[in-house]
Amino acid sequence: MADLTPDLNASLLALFEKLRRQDVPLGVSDYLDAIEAIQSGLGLENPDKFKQLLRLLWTKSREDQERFDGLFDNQFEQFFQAVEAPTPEVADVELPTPQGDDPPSRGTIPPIGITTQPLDPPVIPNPQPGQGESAEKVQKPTPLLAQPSKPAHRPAAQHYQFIPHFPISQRDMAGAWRQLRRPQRVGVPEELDVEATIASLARSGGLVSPVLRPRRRNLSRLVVLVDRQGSMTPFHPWIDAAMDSIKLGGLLGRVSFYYFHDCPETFLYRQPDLTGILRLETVLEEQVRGGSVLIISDAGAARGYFDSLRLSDTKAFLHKLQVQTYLYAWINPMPKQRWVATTAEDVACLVPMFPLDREGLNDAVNILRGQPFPVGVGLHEPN
Amino acid sequence: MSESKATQSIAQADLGKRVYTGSGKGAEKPLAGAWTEEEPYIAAPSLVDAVNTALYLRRPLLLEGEPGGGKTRLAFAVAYELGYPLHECYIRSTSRAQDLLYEYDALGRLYDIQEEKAGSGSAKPRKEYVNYGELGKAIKRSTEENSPSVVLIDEIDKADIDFPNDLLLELDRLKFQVKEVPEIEGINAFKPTGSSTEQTREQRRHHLPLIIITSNREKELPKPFLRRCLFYYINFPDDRTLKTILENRFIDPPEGSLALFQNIFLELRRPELNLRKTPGISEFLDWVTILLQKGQGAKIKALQSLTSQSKEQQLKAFAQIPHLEALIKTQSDRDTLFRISRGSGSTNG
Repeated sequence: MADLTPDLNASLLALFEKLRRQDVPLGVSDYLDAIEAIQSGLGLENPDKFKQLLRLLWTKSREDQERFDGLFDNQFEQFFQAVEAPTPEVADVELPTPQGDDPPSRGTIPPIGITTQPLDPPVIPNPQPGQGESAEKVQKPTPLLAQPSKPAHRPAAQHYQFIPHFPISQRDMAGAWRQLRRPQRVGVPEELDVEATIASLARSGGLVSPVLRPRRRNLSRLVVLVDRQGSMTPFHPWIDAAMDSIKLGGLLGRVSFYYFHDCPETFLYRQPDLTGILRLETVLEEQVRGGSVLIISDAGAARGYFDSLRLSDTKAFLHKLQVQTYLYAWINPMPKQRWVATTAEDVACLVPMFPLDREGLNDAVNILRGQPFPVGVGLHEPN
Repeated sequence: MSESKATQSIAQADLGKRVYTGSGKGAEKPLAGAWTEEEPYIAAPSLVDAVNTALYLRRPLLLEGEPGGGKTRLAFAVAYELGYPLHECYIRSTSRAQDLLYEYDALGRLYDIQEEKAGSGSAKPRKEYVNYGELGKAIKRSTEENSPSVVLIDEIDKADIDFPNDLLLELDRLKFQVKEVPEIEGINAFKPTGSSTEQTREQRRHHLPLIIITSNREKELPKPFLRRCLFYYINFPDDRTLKTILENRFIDPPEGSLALFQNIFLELRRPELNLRKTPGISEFLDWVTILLQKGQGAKIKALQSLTSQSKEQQLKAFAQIPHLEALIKTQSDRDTLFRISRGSGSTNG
């Protein structure tokens, strides 16, 4: 099998690295698979097929695909331009001979193993001052002008990416929520309890009836209370992604969202725009009772000052909450160092509060599963 | 017996040449036990490439897309065209990964032993109580008969969150062990019966099952699982493909009716209508099937005369679409359409 040209390899690796940095779950085997596929001749018919192949191998969701499209076009645009129209100056600069061996037809990736261009593709619209030959200047625009007529090739354009990039990806957040589980055996007995059956067999000397037990089910319930508007406004897209990740985390049907502004006082709202009013007590009694509660709010950290009223309101809310459940945690989208000297610092002494990052989420999920609060945190701690 | 061996070796020789073309034509030489039900499926060229890449690398192909967009049907079409057997696993919320591989009927065995003690009947050997699941059968088929197959794992996101993670090893290494019956040797698709060592993926390529997984993304699948899959999103087909799909499926329809149906369907899918559930391809095909039944000619004519009128009249026509129940699945969407029809009527009057 032929090796890939160094520049194709370099471009592939660069693209792969960029995708990994964007949190696309890719491993070495994915890279090797791509190489294997390319070497076997898959996706080499034209640039579009090549793109499709890598897209298939290296993306795992629609969002990934969108990220991929931008990155791929940036990475391979110049590569394809250089390949599609083997310009004489490139051949002159780098390799005089191999060019003779069958220049690939337009829109085709060259046969593997043939180096057609230097490592850093220099073919860009603006002639570089270093290569100031006049003939070059005349020739350079031609391949670019010829582009529109070629199938499956986009003109050089600025690529914008509209997929937001958060400090923690939605996929990672969903991964943390997957840990939130309380498996219990409930429902119809349908699973054979082998040990109990053998025990009964041993006791009675004959099989009276098999012992069945219900299957394990995840019984976690989660109520999410989300602070909206005001100082939370800049965080809305991120919080939305966090809420989506909770929905996708696998707690199907047993998670509910309510909204408030600044601090949950008498009322909660059913809609993110703070409409659909509900009494706080009603929600706590009907929805929370023994389940887990997650509060998402900056707790005044975004404002950056201390507000004693907010603190006492929060305290009052927590007193009401702890009547119903001891499984509650607070997620703060502000980084931890910004909590200092704000209301958040004091609230963090009353309730386990974590920043919205990977460790923070894992810690919060652990609290929601029933781990004890960190030392010194709690409503009745002296602080 | 010897004859089946001979056909098998022929099949093996051409296994490597089999590629999916998306033409909907059946394989010339279907393997033993192949899926033979015709499946008129029109695949986009990029989807054809995706299937072939998955076929070449023998990596699971994860499909996402609109409900009713042909995710599940693809597996049938691929199996039919390649002449592969098809193993279908439909996932329920209570499905466990283990169920796809095998189930051990411990209870049945216990009863049989009891009966034997009582003097009637006799207990069979242990391995008779193993019922293989569909994925287990596919791996077994590959191991014992050297025969590839298509495995459909439908709606994987419906299962418990552990499900995909529990399947990692089986999807990757294509092997499992019946732990209740130690005398059954581990079933390993990379180690065919008669071979003493495990072969490489490259050597076994044409004998491994092709796994097609569909998801509606109700849950985010775990990262390690995603890493092993090829991902393809089935887009809604463009006008031309849709036309081909119709022409391929409905032979000899009344003049101009297919174009008419397509227009109405696309009209109903317009985002401005704000329907809660936009009709998908499969619903559309159902609807066309109903309309093309015998004796529905009058309804088609009525539809034709309605849509040939002005734009406002066309909007009005929504409420008069026959067999709307095949396309519109919620009461609120029905109300929306009727409201639009009435609304345009009142502005006219």
